[in-house]
Amino acid sequence: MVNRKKKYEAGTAQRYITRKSAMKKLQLTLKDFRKMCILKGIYPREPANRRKAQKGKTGVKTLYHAKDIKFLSHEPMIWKLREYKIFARRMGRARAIRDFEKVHQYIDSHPTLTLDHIVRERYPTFVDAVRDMDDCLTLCFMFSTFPSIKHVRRDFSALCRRLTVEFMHYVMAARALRKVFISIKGYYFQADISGQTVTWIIPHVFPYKPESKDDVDFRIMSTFVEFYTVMLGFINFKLYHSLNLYYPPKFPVSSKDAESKLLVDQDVFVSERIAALNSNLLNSDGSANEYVEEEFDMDDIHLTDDPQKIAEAREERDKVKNLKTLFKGLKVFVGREVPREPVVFVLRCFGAEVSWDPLLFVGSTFDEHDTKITHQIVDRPSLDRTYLSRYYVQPQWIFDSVNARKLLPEVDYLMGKTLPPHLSPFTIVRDGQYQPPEEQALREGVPFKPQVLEEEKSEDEEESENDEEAGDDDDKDEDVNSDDDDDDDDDEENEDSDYDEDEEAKAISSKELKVKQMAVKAGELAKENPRQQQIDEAAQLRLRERMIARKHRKLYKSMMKGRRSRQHEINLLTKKRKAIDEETKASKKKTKKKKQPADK
Amino acid sequence: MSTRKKRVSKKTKTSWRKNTDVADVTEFLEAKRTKEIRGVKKNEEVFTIDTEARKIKDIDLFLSRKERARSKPLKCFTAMINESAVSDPVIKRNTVTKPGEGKGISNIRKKQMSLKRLKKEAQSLNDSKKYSAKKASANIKTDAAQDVWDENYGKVTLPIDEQWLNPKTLVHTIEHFEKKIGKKSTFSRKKNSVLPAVEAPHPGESYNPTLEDHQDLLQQVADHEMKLIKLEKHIERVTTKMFCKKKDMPTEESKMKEMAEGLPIPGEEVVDEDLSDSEYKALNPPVLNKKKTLKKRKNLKKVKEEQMQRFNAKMEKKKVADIYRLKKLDEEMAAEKVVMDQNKEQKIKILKEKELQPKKMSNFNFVAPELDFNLPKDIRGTVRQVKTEGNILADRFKSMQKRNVIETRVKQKKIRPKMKPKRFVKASHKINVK
Repeated sequence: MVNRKKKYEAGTAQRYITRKSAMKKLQLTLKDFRKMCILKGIYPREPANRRKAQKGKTGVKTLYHAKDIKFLSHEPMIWKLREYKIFARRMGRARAIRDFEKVHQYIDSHPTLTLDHIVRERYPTFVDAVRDMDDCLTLCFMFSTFPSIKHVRRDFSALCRRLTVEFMHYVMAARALRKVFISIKGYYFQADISGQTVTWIIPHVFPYKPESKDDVDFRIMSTFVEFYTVMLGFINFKLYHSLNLYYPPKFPVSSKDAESKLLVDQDVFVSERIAALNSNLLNSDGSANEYVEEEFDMDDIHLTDDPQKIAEAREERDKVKNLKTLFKGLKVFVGREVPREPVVFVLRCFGAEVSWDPLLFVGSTFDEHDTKITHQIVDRPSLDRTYLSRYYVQPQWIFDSVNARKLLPEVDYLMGKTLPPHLSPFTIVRDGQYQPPEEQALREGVPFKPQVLEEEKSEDEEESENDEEAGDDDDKDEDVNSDDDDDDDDDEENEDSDYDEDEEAKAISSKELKVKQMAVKAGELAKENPRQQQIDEAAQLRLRERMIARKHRKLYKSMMKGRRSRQHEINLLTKKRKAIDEETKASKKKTKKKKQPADK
Repeated sequence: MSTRKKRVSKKTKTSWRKNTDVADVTEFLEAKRTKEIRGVKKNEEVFTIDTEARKIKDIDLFLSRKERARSKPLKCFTAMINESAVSDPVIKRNTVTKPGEGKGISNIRKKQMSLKRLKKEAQSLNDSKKYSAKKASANIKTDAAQDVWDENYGKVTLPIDEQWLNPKTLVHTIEHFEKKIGKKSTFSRKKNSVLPAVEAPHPGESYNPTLEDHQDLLQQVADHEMKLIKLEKHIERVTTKMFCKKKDMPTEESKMKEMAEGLPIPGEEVVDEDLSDSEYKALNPPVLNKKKTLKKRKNLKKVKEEQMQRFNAKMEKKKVADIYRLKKLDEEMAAEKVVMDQNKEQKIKILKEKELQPKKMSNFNFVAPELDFNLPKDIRGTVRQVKTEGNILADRFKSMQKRNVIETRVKQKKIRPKMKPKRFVKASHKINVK
């Protein structure tokens, strides 16, 4: 008789394996199995048909792919885990019988896991690893703040601290930071690393708060971090080498530093200076690393033929290029009450020179009385002694400037002032979304001027305007100086350009005179009818619309419909706003008119 | 009859001890000792009257009790201490020497020993060096002075050219010393979720948010809370409120009353009209299975057949008519297709939405973490005074669950059975009140 195929001998049932049977197959305890899965990046799966996958058993079981488990069984690490089990047993026994000689002997030769080949295995290319860095960085930054607790040894958090500081040094050296955000949870940072967008969170600098055990499984999280530390080490190595930096970071030592170096442990000295984030690292050829603007010609590469897209890309590139040297030339002193690390990190990412009170942390470069300081970051309502030569701004100025990609006017962020709201750079404003003029101004980094006021101003006499300006000047004499200077420069330039244009016009007219005398007539340029052009374009668009594949036609239609409806909404809202503005304006005029006769 | 040997050997120590008569000496010493112990002195000679206060031994208070005890000899050895004033009669004892000790070792042996000692010292020095090096390397765990993404990563560099090696040796070396880098299947390498690792924060979570964003966030939080309250109420309604309270529970009396509802109460006369009929009538009389007659059956069959015929004829007619209805049929089919397409779109939409939801990977459902928010009074507008909310670690943990990296689990509480002692009253303590 032919062997009959039984139920669950093939198909889905064979493709999945329950956690319990997987553990049995690998001869591992649950603890070890979980650790191994995390380290190797094996996740549980959800089958399409649970009944079949569980071989008819009811209830929800944690299932794995049978192939994944087979893959795990080939891992040499499994032997290490078993070895570790034996080691733990031996240790337990030796401790129980108080044979401390043996305990020491075992501890000296305890088995250790090496994870470097797993990094390579999980991330076959470097870019793969960078793409998966979000979790790694967030967790490492978090763990670096931990004291020694259960499942997190002290050297573990120290290692996390070292790696994260190294990473921050890379970000500073490569000028890779793009977006920053202060939330109530922590500081959000977004950087562009090897073409990948990496986002991470740094906790606020406050004392360690013990976490409740019920929220988080610490053992699991520490296993993740165990892998991530190894991964971050390799990534750092590669990143440093991409910038020609020494990998265990080194920095040039000045003679002044060398004296103090004699007094302390060399390792401690170096690590402290590195943690200060305030010195450029050494290149592999021994020179100090300086940021060099890369010459990159975008024109060579054409990924699209769409001229609009190319123009957009070019604009974006220019903006990023400006952003990289946003704070260049600024000399910033950070106050004691300001969280030093994130602020220094952001400032140095865009080329500022930073220092702080030498008692606050090692690595300060200039003191508070330095006259060349352009900005001082303060986060208190007032200071006893202030200098006229510098701006006293609040930390939000730095963060908002980075997000706006240009230096915002310091006036709004001066010491003791109520700050404008801190917007999230992560919310992307879609094309079809109404933005009130206030928000638009904030996003563009232009101080908002209500339309009503502007119009009034124009209607008012010049004298009153002058008076107002004078008043303003009195209010903020120190900071307006530089602004005025800038304005003057601009004016001069404008004048120059006007002058040039006049000259050119004259030259052209003389040439034309000469041409008239000649016999040969120049052909007339065909006039472009803009109306006709529009009609042609519309016709072309319609043709293109017809070319859309049937598959996507519906999607296109719904897209266009959505766009139209959004535009409609915007129009409606702007109309409303206009009406409101006009109303307020009219009411103001009325009140003014009423007032004027009363004055007379 | 025993004969005493005239001459005995006193060659060895044992024979000396055996054959020498020392009775007189021991007797003398014994007598001396007893004299010492008991004494033949008067009380006054032996005892003195205390005239001075006893001096308290000064104890070093700075030493711990343990340390003080350590300075004293161990109690177990007190029996071995010779407290007798009598000096040891045997002045010189022959000490027992082990082989290799004492004066009579050869020079060669001495040299050997010193060499051994030197070796041991060198070994320990070496060990300590190794240990310190190991410790130093342990401190810096990943001094990743290598590039894992290098082409030659994990490969063995042979000391000599490959061609000079025995193929077996080559295979062995590669097998044992090269790092094995496994390859996951492309399926497993794919991420288990489409969600980003670090999700963009809600703009209302800013430490200094705009009014609209903050209101929006608060609205979301409030909506969530309302949902929870509604759910709680529902659960309350379908569980606790389903059962009445103990005070409203039926008592023995009310139960009796309910059960006896409609029954004749003894003592009261009931006038029942049914009783007068005296014929028995069940409440549910048995149903009779009435058989259909053959005629009726035939009739039924005929009607059915006719019905079938009519239906078939109608269908045939319809088939012919349908030829002229082709246009209409096309329209119908098109309409059907529209519905089908809609259904398909809906299905795709649902699938896409499902993709964003965490998968069911264990017996417990994923519970989304609550949004972090500052109440309006907590927003101070400066970095220094920011009131932090939320826990980044818990946030990561939940995010991993959401992205299907780890399965959702609930911490199990260890339930230990309470060992409550059973109480008895002793028979003798029992009080029977009658």
